[in-house]
Parts: sequence; C-alpha cells; structure tokens
Amino acid sequence: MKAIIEELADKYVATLKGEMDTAAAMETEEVLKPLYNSKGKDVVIDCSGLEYIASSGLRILLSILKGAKANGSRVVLKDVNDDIKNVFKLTGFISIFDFE
Amino acid sequence: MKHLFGWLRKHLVIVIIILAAMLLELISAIQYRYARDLLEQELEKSCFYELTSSALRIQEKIAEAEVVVGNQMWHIRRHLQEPDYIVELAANMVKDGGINIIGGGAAFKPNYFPSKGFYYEPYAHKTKDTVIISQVGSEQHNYFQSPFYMAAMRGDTTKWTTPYLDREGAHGIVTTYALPILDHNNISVGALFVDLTTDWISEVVNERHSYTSSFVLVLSKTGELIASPADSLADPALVKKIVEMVSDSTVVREKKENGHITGFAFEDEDGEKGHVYHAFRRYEPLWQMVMVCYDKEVFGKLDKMRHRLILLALFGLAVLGLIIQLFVKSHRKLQKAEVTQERINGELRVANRIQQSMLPPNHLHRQDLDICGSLVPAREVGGDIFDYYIRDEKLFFCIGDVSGKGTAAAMLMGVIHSMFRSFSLRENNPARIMQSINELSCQGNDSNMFVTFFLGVLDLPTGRLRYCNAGHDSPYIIHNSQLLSLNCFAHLPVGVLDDIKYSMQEIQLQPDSTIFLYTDGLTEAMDQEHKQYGLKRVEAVLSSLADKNSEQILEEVTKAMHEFVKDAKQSDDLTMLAVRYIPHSFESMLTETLVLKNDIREVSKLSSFMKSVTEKINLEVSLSSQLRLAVEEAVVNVIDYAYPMGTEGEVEVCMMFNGQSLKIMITDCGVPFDPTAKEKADTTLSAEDRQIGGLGILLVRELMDSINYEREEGKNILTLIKTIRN
Repeated sequence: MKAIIEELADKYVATLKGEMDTAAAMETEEVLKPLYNSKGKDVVIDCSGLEYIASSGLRILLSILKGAKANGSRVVLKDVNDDIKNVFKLTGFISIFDFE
Repeated sequence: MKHLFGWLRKHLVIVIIILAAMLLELISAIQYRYARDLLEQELEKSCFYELTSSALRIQEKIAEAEVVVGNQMWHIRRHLQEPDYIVELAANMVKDGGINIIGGGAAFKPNYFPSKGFYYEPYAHKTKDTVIISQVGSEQHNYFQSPFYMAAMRGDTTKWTTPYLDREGAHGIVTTYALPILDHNNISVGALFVDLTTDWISEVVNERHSYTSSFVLVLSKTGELIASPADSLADPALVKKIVEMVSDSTVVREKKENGHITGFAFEDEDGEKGHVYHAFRRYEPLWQMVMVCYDKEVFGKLDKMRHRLILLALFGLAVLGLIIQLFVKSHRKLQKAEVTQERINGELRVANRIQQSMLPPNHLHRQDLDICGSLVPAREVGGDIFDYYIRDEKLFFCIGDVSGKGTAAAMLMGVIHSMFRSFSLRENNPARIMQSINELSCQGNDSNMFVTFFLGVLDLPTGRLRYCNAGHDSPYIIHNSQLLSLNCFAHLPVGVLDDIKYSMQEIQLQPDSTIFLYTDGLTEAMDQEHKQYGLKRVEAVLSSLADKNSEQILEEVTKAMHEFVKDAKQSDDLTMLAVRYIPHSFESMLTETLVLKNDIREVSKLSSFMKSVTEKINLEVSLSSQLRLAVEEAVVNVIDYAYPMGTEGEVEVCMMFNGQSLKIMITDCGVPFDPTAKEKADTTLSAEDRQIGGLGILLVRELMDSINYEREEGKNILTLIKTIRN
C-alpha cells in the first residue's frame, strides 16, 4: 500500500496505490491526516491504483470528506474500479462522495 | 316540495295527531248535529203537548163557567118577570160555580124593570165564606158601555171579554162570560154573566213542565198578557220581551203542526238562547198560548257531553301522540344504534384485517424449515398471537394469549407483538427478550391484563432451541412418533409483576422434529354439553402425526377438534403453530483453517489465505475480493471487541466448501460478543450525519448470504455462508 499527497495552489491531490486493508489503513491514515483539514481546498483522490479497501479505509475517506464539507470544499474520487465502487454502493458512500 | 316532505317527516307525529283530531271533531260534530236535531224534534213534540194540555186545562175551567151560565139561563128566562128572584138565581149561579168564579149577575137593558129603575144589575160577589149580593148598576156604574153587555146585546159570537180590572163588582182582574137573556120574543133584554178570575191560569198552565226553565204565558187575543208565572220562575223583562215579540209581525216564524203552532228563536239579556212556541186557543176565549224554553236546558247536557267528549278525545290523542313520539324516538334510537353497530362492525372488520396482516405468512417452507400457523379469533379480533421470523439464521417464534377476549385483548396483543419484534432485533436470548417485554408491559398496565407467552429462538445451523415460557401451555416436540411435552419453568405470565427474572432453557432439537405450539382455545374447546376437548385428546392426535408436515399437522388437529365439538360455537380464540425442523448437513469437500493472533497487523495474512482458498475452488476475482472483505471485517470485529485491551488471544478462521456454498466459521475464545446484535448502520444519511462505526458488520451482512452467531463452550462462533453456485 502506497499513499502520497500533493498540495497544489487550489487543491490537494492524493494518490492511493495497492490494497488498503485494515492494517494498511492504520499506516495510511498517518499519511493522509493533513487532508482532514483541507483549509477550504478541494481534495482529489486518485484511486486508479487502488485495488482493495476495507471499512477502516472507508472511515478515513469519510473523515476527509467531513473535514472538507465543513470548509465548503469538495472531495473527488478519481478512477475508482468497479469492485471498490460496489463497496461504496453497499455502504451508501456512493451518494456522499463525488466520483470522476 | 322536498322541503315540505322533509318537514312532514320530521313532524309526522304532530301531523298525524292533528289529522286524527280533525277527523274526530268532524265525527263528533256530525253526531252532535244529529243528536241536536233529534232533541229539537223531541223538544217540539213535548212543547206542543204542553201547549195543548195547558189549553185543555184552561178549557176545563172555561167550560165550567159556560155551563153554570147556560144552566142558570133556563131558570132566568122562566122567571123573567121576577127581578128579585133573578137576584137569587144569580147568587146561586155564583155559589154553585167553581172557586174561580168570583162573581156574576145579570145586567138588564134600561128601564126593563121599571120598579128597579133605569139601571138594574144585580151582582153576587163571592168572598171567602159568603156571597154578597148587591145592585151595582147606577149612573156611576153605567154597565151599558161594558164590553160584555154590549157584546151580549149585539149577539156577538165572542162571549168572553178581554180580562180587565173590575173595580165595582169583582175588585180584581177578571174575564167575563156573558150570554144574552132573551124574552119570549127572543129579544135580548139583558146579559147573564160570570166573572172569572185570571190568577189561576198561570198556575194551571205552569203546573208542570218537562224542562224546569220553561214556562207558559197566556195572552189575550190582542196580545195583552193574561197570565205569566211568578217573577222567580220567569224574568219579567224576558216575559215583556216575549209578549212584544209575539205581536211583532217582523219576527221570523216557523209554522208547525199544519200552521196551528208557530215557533221563533229568542235571546235574553244575558245572551242565553231559547225557543218560543206559540198557538191560539181553538175555542173561546181565543187566547194565545206561548211556551218559552231555553236551549241551555234542552241542549245543555248534549253540549256538555260534546265538550267532555272533545276534551276526552284531545286527552286521548295527546296520550297517543306521546306514545307514538316515544315509539318513534326509540325507533330512531334503535336505527341510530344499528348504524353505530354497523360502524363498529365495520371498524372491527378493519381491525381484524389489521390484526391478520400483523401475522406472519401462514406457511413458510425453507430447506431446513417447514412452518405452518393459524389463528382463528372467536370474535372479530382476538387476544391470541403467533409470530415467527428468521434473523441471522435464527428462527424467532412466539405464541401468546392475552387474558380476556375482544378489542382490549387485541390491542394489548398488538403491543406485545411489536415488543417481541423490536426487542428480538438485537437480542438472541429469549429470556432477556421476555424480560424486556415484561418490564415494558408492566408499565402503565392499569387494566391488569396479562399475557401467557412462549418465546423460542431456534438456531438453524445447530438445531439448538432456546426458549423462555411465561405461563403459557408447554409446547410439544413431535419426533419419531414420540411426543414430548417441552419442560418449562413455571414463570408468571407477562404483565403481572415487573421484577420477575425470566430464565432461559435450552434443548438440542433432533432433525425432523416438530415443535407444536397452541393456545388454550384448543384444549378448552367445548362441545355443546360444555365438555372440554382436553389435553389427552390433543396428545393422542399429535402422537400419530410424526411423519406429517406442519400444514398436515394443523389440519389433522383442527379436524379432530371439530369432530369433538361438532356444532358448538367457538368460545375462545384458537391459535396453533407448528415448526418442523429439517436441517441439512454441510458436507465439506474442502476445509482450510487459519489461526491469527488478536492483532490488527495479522489481518494481512488473510489476503493470501483467502486467495489460496478461492483459487482452489476457481472463484472469480471480484467475488473472491468480496469474500475477503467480509471475512476481514468479521475478523477485525472479533479482534476489536472479543479481546479486551492488553489480552492476548487467537482467532480461528475455518473455510469450508461443499461444492455449492462457502461456509466460513470464525471462532475465538474471547468474551461473549455477538456482532449480529449490533445496530445496522444507516446508509441513507448525509456525509455530516454518517457515523464512523458499524460499517464492518454492515459489509459482512451485505456481502454474505447469511451470518450466524453462536456462543458455544466458551467460544464465540460466527458463521458466514455464501452460495457460490446453484
């Protein structure tokens, strides 16, 4: 599991790669923590390399979303594969995130 | 028009009464008219009779006087030359005449007896005890001008004078009867006469009358009053008025009796009406007879009767009206009650539908279960209930009977039913569910109703039956023609005391066993002689039904019961529930086990373990990924919750495949932890409202076909099943 975040002028871009199981989510959370407060900037999360996500991963995404919403900015998930999208569907997350 | 009909309908009673009153009045008026006519005829008859008889009585006296004069005339003519003897004869005539002849004498033409002078009128006057004879003729009493003398001398046919006041002879009101005295040459030489008083006339004609207020007047030919009753019997003013009316030609008269009698109506000063009948005497003197009678006396009784009849009729009608009114009122009330009853019945039918719709389907057929239930309320709604549903591979079922019947019982049952459903949603222990139901039922149970309730939880993978019985009839277990009454603790029914501790009991159900539950509507069903069907008969039927399915069992029991009670009316709600347990064993072709420490980092091991198993059974990648996610979530849950912080333990993941389904058993030795009892996360909330927790178990439920938790021998066992191929 690999996670990188980049802060651009108008947005944050995070890239997730590999399988984010429960153990991986614990480590990844440390990397993604700055996104919990995006200071009003939109957050784009590139999921093209994400192969698997467990509920702990979803919880991190939810925390980022809550932070962004509080500041009026958006969270966009890019290139989510079908299996993972199914997980979003089952949990009802599909309706609270923006997908591209 | 419509308005009028409406008014008529509304005031029907009054209309009927008014019509009836009018009809009665019409009949009464006709009757009155008829009766009055009859009475009037009767009155006339009696008046005519009285007039005739009065006239006759007068005639007697008149004739007496005429005879006396006639008889004496013969003597007088023989002694016409003896003036002194004539005096004697005249005295005899008065003496012999009746008491009403007060005097009499002879009056001769001037100088007939030269010895006696120019005037000669010997006169005998009768006093109380003697007859005084005197010669009354003189210059002062020039009898030649007297009407009786002049009439006699002229030979008039009228021989009676109009009554007059005689100052010389009789000294009172008299009427004089005079005949001419004829000499041998049949030349009138004088008059022989008697004076008749008139005071007797009134007595004679008013001797007696059919009507006490009636009286008779006698008038002279020219209309002067001759006789009238005493003032006490007849009002002088009225008498005067009648006398005037008799002579008044303008008064309208009716002729009766061939014109002999005429009649006319009068009204006195007080406005009292009456009739007058009037006739002339047929013989001399030609007096007028007048009969006066008051209508009041004649028709008074009739009028009184009519008034009484009308009053009576009105009273009767009022009573009738009242009765009709009461009748109509009670009829309307009854109609209203019927409408109300119909409404209540309608509502009860709705209540019945609602109650029936709260029940689960009557049948459930699953690979491992065959359920049939029935509820027949004695009334529209009942206080019985049965329910069942499956959650996480556990069958929750119950049967109950509220004390009492009808609506109140049904309402309480509805409440108990919802409590059963909601408390069993996150609780597998039947005693704890019962406890919660009881505590809540006791709150505000002012009507002191209670419920006998049996609650069972059948773990379908293992056949373990956990149950708790609150005072209900023990269910039966039918297995291989053996009938076993389920051993139940004697708990008080639900709703009696709020601090009861309910205990759970547990048995292992054998495959192909049937649990039969019922309410006392079965055992206490009565035939027409009030004999109860009884437990023994139920048991006898049940023991013969081991090989039957649940539907057949219910059919057979019902049939046998009906054969017993025959046509007797169902007196209590009848509820039965049969649960047949037919588990299928899971014959694993492939079994793989992984043991993990209670450390989140160990979860990564799952990835390769799952991959190797799913590859062995040729599972496609995305399905494999789903299974991995479900198992990971379940395992993480166990690690997080089954082991308190700082304690070490293990989690065993065992995967089995029988060619169709994957069965994953996750076992740990931690504290009892039932993830199925956790509240399901709400997936419809917005981002702001979404909670962090509950996602894991939600994913497990969504991804797997079934999830089942059991605590066995100090271990938590979570079983997940997913059907891969059909």
